[in-house]
Amino acid sequence: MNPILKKELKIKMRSWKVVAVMMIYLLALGGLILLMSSNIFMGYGSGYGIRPEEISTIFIFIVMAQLGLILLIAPATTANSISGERERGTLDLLICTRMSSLSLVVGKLLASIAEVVLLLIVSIPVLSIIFLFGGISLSNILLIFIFYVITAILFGSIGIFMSSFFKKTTTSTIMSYFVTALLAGGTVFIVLAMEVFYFRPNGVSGFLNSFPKILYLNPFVVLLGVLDSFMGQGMLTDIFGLKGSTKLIVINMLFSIITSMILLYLSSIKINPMKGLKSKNK
Amino acid sequence: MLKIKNLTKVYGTFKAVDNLTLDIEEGEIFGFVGPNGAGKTTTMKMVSTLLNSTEGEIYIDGLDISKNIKQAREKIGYMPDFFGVYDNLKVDEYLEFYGNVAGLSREQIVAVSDDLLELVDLKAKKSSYVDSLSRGMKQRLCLARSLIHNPKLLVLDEPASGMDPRARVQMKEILKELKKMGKTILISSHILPELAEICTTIGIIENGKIVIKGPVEEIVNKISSGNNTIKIKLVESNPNTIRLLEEDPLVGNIYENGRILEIEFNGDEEDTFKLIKKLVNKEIPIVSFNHIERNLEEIFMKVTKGGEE
Ligand SMILES: Nc1ncnc2c1ncn2[C@@H]1O[C@H](COP(=O)(O)OP(=O)(O)OP(=O)(O)O)[C@@H](O)[C@H]1O
Ligand SMILES: [Mg+2]
Repeated sequence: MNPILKKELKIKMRSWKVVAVMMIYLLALGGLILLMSSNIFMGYGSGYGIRPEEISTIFIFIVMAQLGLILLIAPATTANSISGERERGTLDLLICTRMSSLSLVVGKLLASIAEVVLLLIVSIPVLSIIFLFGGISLSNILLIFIFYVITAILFGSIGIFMSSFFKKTTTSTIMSYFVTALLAGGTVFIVLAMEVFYFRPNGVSGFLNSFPKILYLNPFVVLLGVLDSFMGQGMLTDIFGLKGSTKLIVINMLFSIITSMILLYLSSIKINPMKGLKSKNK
Repeated sequence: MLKIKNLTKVYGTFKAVDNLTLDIEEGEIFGFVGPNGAGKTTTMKMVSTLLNSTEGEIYIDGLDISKNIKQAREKIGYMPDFFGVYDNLKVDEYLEFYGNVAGLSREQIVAVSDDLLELVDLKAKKSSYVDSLSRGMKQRLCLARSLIHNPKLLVLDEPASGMDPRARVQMKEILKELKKMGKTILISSHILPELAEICTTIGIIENGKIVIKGPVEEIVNKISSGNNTIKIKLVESNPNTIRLLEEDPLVGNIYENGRILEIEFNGDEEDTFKLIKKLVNKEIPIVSFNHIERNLEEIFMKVTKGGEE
């Protein structure tokens, strides 16, 4: 077992923070579900009955909200990973050992992933009700969970990368969330801005000839796309005039994995004072 | 064991370490003394593979550290001047963690950590949380940590800084123990006398350069001879005395303070005896004659006085 992962888990399990994060996470998720359902049940009271598409709406909303929570948590658990060790005065003690800096970085990432996976697991009871009515198969749910984990890997790696490049945790945190916002919001903003630019009087639909590549990077868009295709809905069509498909999420996950590997590698080089930058051999 | 060749570190335009060359034999305890900002930490970090050098080479046990980083790191135990500890980790877990990091198996860690805690006198604190330890205890624990993988070379950057006198004595005892174990040690301090007691060799560094180095006694003698002060008390102030003293080529400045004279004297003990004989023969009314031996503290101040710029 990676020694860093082992230590992080030991320390995390002893700290109240993990429990606090878990509680807040469950409360947020439960609150959202309650909020959504109360709207629908109020509709039920007025005699319309519960319509299946309303359940689907909750389902989609909750699946998206869970992604949003992961995007908040993954950078938070990693943005201090290296800079925190530096600030505490323990980084040098790890570097001057035979352990490679890649192990250090990977250990930090694994610890962060473990935290996200823990949250996903504790959320299963809460989510199971929704999933039960969601009307999608178990394998599709599994795909969504894999997507969650891979997204956590990407945004965790971004946090680690920033944490190795910036000396201060504050800077690293700001930069991590900046990049997160860029990927999760900025990409959509760019596309919507394009829409305004090429505005056509005959409506929004179909303003784009092909799927803008930049949206492949957006975790919300690809998740929505895959939900569209699972549930036969057309939310992406409503927003961008585009049809969702499983292809989106697969490309996105490939992008995440490759980018994460590159980011981790760069971080490990940056951390090791004897590597890179300058190599003089005489 | 440790060979440093023409080592230079430049920060911007500032030379923190300037063409430093050093050779430390196996089993040697090398004391690295110098004022603040002399370049001790910078040098030690380069030796510990924590800082890239601008110029020069470092060999540990014959290995060029820039080419064999991993093997070099296995041979070094580094204790930084400033370091931190993790919250929520107990003393034995702390050692276990760094043992894991060093690639040791659980059995190996169990086998050494008790001995190490014994060595640094922290056995009773085995199950305490590390962040609850006092500063001196943390320093001893950090020393134990640096020993966990049984390194041949120890690089200790001011291991006794911030310790009270009692803790310093304890640290000294531990270092003596390590010396017996045959470790090669590079240790830094501001305080020369403290190092003189445990080191075999001393190097004084200033402005990134080694000013003087050699076996402890040699260094102490070299600096102290030729830099003596002689204090003479006369029955009454006497101008002849000063004239007589000024004739002597070994006498430097003379400070007169009533009937007390302080004389800078550049001779050895034989010369001192001759000077007394001369004064007595000329019937100078001497009440007392003191040969003031400079202590190491003063020597240090004198050798490194250029540091205040
Ligand atoms: N990262 C850095 N950037 C610029 N200058 C630095 C850096 N690190 C150290 N220096 C400078 O290099 C010089 C040597 O510092 P160093 O820490 O090696 O001194 P030292 O002998 O360990 O001093 P002390 O006794 O205070 O620990 C100092 O003048 C310091 O200001
Ligand atoms: Mg220092």
